[in-house]
Amino acid sequence: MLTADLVRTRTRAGTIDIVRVDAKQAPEAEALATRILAVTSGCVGCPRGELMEALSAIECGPKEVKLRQGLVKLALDAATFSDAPEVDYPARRSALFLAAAEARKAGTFDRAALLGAAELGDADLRGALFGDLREQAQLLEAPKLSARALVASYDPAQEQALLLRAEKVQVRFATLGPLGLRHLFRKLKFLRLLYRFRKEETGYVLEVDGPMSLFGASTKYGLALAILLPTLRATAAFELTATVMWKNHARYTFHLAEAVAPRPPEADVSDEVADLLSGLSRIGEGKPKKREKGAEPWSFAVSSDVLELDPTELIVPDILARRGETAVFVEVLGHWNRDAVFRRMELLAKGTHARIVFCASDRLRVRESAITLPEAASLYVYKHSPSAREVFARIERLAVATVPQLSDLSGRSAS
Amino acid sequence: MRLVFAAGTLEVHGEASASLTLPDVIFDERTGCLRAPAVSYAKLVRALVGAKVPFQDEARRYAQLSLEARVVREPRVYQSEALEAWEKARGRGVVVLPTGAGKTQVAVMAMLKKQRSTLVVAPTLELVRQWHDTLASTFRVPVGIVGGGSHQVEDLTVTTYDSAHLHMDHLGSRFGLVVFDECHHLPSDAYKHAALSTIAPFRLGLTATPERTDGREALLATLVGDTVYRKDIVELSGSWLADYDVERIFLPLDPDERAEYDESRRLYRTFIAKHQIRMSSPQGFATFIVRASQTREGHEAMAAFRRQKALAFTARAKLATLEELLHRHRDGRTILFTSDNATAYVISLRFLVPIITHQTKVRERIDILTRFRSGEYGALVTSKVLNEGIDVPEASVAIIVSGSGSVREHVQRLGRVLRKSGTKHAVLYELVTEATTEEHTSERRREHSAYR
Repeated sequence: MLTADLVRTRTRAGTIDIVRVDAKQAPEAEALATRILAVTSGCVGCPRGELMEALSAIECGPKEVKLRQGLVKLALDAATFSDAPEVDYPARRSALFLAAAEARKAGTFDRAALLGAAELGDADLRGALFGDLREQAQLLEAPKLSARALVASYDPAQEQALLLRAEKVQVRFATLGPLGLRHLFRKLKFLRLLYRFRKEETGYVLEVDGPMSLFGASTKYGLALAILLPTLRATAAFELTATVMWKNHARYTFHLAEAVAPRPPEADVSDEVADLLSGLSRIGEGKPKKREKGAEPWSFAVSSDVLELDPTELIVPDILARRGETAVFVEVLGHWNRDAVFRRMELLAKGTHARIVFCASDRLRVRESAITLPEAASLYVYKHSPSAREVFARIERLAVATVPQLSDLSGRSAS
Repeated sequence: MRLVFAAGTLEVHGEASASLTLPDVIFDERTGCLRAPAVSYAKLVRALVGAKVPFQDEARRYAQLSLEARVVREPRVYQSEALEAWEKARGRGVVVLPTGAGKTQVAVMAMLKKQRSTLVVAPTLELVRQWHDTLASTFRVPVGIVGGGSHQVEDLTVTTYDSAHLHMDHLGSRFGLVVFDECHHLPSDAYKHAALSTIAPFRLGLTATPERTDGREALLATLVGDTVYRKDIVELSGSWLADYDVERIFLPLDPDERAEYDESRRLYRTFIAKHQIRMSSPQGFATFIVRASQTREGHEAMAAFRRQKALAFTARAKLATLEELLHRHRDGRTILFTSDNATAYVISLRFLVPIITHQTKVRERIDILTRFRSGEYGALVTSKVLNEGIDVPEASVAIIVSGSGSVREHVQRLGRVLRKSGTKHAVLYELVTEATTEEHTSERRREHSAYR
């Protein structure tokens, strides 16, 4: 993602727009992108610091400075750098500095002798001692992008970066299918944004900001609004209007129209959820002997429900397990949003109106034992991928838990 | 009526009589209820109680504690005065005390007085760790940490401003007292939400230097409370803080360095004059960077700009004096401050002293500071990250190898060696390269009573 300072803007009469790469500038932009990619490819194996220096030497016209910086940022985002080195640099530093401190105290400090004893030379001492710094990270792979593709990614990245300074966003959709809506809600809930959704004659209007926006404009939710943009693009054709705080805290209106509707998502579940669903279905079908006499079997399906924990916290569970009147939801939180787990656990501690099993990867560094949940909720921390058997066991446990009522808010958006 | 905490705000549910005016409350169409910022909680509760309106407080999730101090420290006179002034202001306000004067003790006293779940917000992970250790050794309760890879929330919890800004939307109802350490950070656009999004009725701001260059310190009154107590370095020096000397050492450039400095400066000045860039204006440096990146001449001007700075920052005479000072104070604990990371690395490599910058990982920082405290390391070098992040009573020597013109930074750096320890006499050396821009920078940062 670009940062706001890398966006090229033009303001006029209270509106702001990005300066796009138009047909006239496209050849120059592509030439610049070609040079950036060539320098990057030529620097494979070099430390990041050297690459940055080489990239900063690429000359361009006065009007292309930000374009160059933006393309460099996008190219670096797409490049692969080495992970933490295997050498234990902190230990190496510590050994040398401790020996030096001891010598200094004794009044016998001799730099050359200390380096000699540590088998370190003066020539590349910085690399030998501080090889774990970011600037020392090695470029392993240049971006696998053509110059044209790099330039094509530039304007969408600019639009997204402009929203980093957005206070609120209004989006109009002419049409909106249930899958797209679910996809959108899923994102809104993760981003903790508040929204108003209404149906008008010409379509749907979604207004998005955060609870605090009521008391004064703030760019507090800018990052969340910027992150939302690709989701909007994947949802449907739309027209977006945003209030953006730009230079000197002045407010501008930003308009963006995406006329082409994306292909509707076919199955809005991840591979992890699909695997879990088929695993649960197999277990559900394969346990008839253990069922209580007369009890119905469990059925498992992709959930189309939206559950509300509080007005800012919606849950779109991934799987609905149903046995007769009993419903248990499963949400796979995966391994990318640790904060989301804690938010859910804190809200659930207040009480829940639905039975729900949360599956979180142990990569999120959460412990089941450290969290107290109400009877109707369960947190399952898994290694690698969620075990269908373990999730099934929890579903059966929760099935007997008492809940006040099932709050299905899937119709919340319609008004 | 019901008060509910929701994502950094308060929702007021239920029918309100037409005659009842609730402070800071606005109707929120999105959720169909009244809403107020969480910071207005105390005001709101007082208004409801005052109007004798029965209400259910579902927002408050902080606990009444029974904290007891393991070690009872007799408070110093000014610490008791500060606490009294804070209490008179209904437990909301800023206490301004110099570094080393025992601001932490004032916070501990406030916690003992109020006995509420408490969140301490500090600017760096070093300070978070320091607070954690202090609170853990003072009270018989577990102390949580949020930030730096930990998310453990306890009745006493310590966090960074960054984490508070990120998590207050869901932690904001958990604490009845929030202590904002180095609270001059709070009025920034992002961090202010850490204070706006918590219901904590009691708030204590601690700082040695509340003033900000952008003048936003006025916002502290809303976020924390008014300044309720203030004492300066000169008022406490000798009695409660270590006695100290400030020694400014002017050092010449060698002839070849002087020639290179003058030539580099001429190149860079010619460029900015040609492009009519006013480096003293707020946008000056940014404009210079943009212009310099456009042409070969600009690249050369930028290289010349960097070179003249490097020559002043690491002049031979300066490094020789540094060697001498390190030798002179080899039995003490010395902190070397630079204005940039590049100079800090030059010094670390030249004198083989440990370095702490923003790139130093938490584990290594802890290791370096632990060894520095124990005396295994007699010196360490840092750029800006330790300006307000280290508490080593034994440290008695600070050497400003280079710095900015900020008075706050300079006072903070002096403060690192002022903590009283036995009969310690602290000394702050300021190394200034003669006839370079460093002279002017040094004059600017000394505009404080501590240097008069």
